Amino acid sequence: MSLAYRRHLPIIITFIMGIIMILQYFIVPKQPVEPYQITMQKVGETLTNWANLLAAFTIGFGMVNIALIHSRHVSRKTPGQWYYSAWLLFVAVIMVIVGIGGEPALGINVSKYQYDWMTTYVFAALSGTMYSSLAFYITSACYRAFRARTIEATALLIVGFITLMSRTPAFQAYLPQVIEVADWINKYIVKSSFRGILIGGALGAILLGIRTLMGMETGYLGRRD
Amino acid sequence: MAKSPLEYIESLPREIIYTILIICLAVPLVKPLGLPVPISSRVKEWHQYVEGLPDGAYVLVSVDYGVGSLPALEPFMVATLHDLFERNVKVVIMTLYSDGPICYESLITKVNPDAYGKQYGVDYVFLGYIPGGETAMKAVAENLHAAVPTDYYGTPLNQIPMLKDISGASDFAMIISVTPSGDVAQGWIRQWVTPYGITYMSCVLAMMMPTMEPYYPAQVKALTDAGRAGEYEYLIGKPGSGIRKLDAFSVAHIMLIIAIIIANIAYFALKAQKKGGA
Repeated sequence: MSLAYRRHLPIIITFIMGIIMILQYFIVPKQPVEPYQITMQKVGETLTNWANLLAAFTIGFGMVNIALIHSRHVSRKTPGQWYYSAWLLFVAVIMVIVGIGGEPALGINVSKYQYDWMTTYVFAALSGTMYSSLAFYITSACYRAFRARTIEATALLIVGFITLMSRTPAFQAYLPQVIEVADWINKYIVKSSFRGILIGGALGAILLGIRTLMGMETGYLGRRD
Repeated sequence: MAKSPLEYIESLPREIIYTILIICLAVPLVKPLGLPVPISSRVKEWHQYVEGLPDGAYVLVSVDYGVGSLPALEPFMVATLHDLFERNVKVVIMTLYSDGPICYESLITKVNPDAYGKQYGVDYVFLGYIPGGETAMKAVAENLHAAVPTDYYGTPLNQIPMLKDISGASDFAMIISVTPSGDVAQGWIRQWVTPYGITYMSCVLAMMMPTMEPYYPAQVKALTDAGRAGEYEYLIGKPGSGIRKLDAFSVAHIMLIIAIIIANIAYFALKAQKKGGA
């Protein structure tokens, strides 16, 4: 594949699209009047809708990718993995069939009730379980990590304690002073620190955007063969 | 060599910690302790903004969570919709999560708009999942009808009475997002608050609060975490699952505080022992 097709063309497309989006943000007013403003607005809207379509496409792409990766594990019988992959593919196929309302050709007729049942009592329950297991890991990590070993660790411990107490309904009711202390920490220490981090991050993002538009950042083009 | 009691306490096996935590969470859920429910200023402020909406105002409610975080975020979303449906406002609901429609179904079943005399298409509407994250927010803001031609059930938007005259962000009085994602919570600021100056209310996970604090109250007019759902339910007189969790929060947090204190005592006692031994 030629270098122009593989590298230069994507960079040119990125540059043109990026410049159009920047221009339409700064040039087009809320109520466009001039013909060029109306045109720019329409182009901006179209490009945004293209981005949404691409995002929707990635879901289907992700499904194909998962199917390929896990089919490979099953066909190669990867030790310690293939049975999980087989189960994943089986459940994915079942969910797709149920989701699209069954497959009459296979004699499978599914109602909304069955789909709702599977999402509520299988998918939602499992997802919730995975998420809530974090509480156990965090508790265990707090028990091990919160030690007053150094001055910095002691400061972290004290602030952690105050924050935890301020978020505990029982302390909020019987020791309301802790809320004021936590609010003060949030208002002055947390807010100012995070603003610094955010401004730094935003400057970095602007720089990354400029470098991408100039073709100096090419990570998004993928691996070079 | 066997561990001394202090060493054992200092590095308590995780199985024991997990068991104690399960007991601390389960007991108050099964047998509520009836601890008082203090209402924080953040929840009062949230309610005041909803209360202050003018008649006929359009509110965009984005159910920006999936089923994984549903147990944590849904109680606050339910309380918010109860509060909104108490008023004469038009509610446009959407989601940026592919499994968001499942969350919507669960949400709307719990809220039951019929009980408030609200009619689908006239008082509230569900646009479904809009892919694209931040570009979806931008597309909806610029031209709602172009970005979402039909609602979740396939009805063209121009046939839905409440959406006939709505073109985009400038027609909305408020945007409410409940999400576990920092990108989503901050994306609304970039795509709706900065360009259109819409009143934005954000409910996030407690651990995300520090990352959102810099935007409060300038860009995010009301900011709270979903753990305060019980307070909101109590405030608006609609007790739900959030209020039942408050006692469990209290007991689990107190357990964690005590555990950390014990671990530190064991750590310093061990240190002193080692010094004495040397």
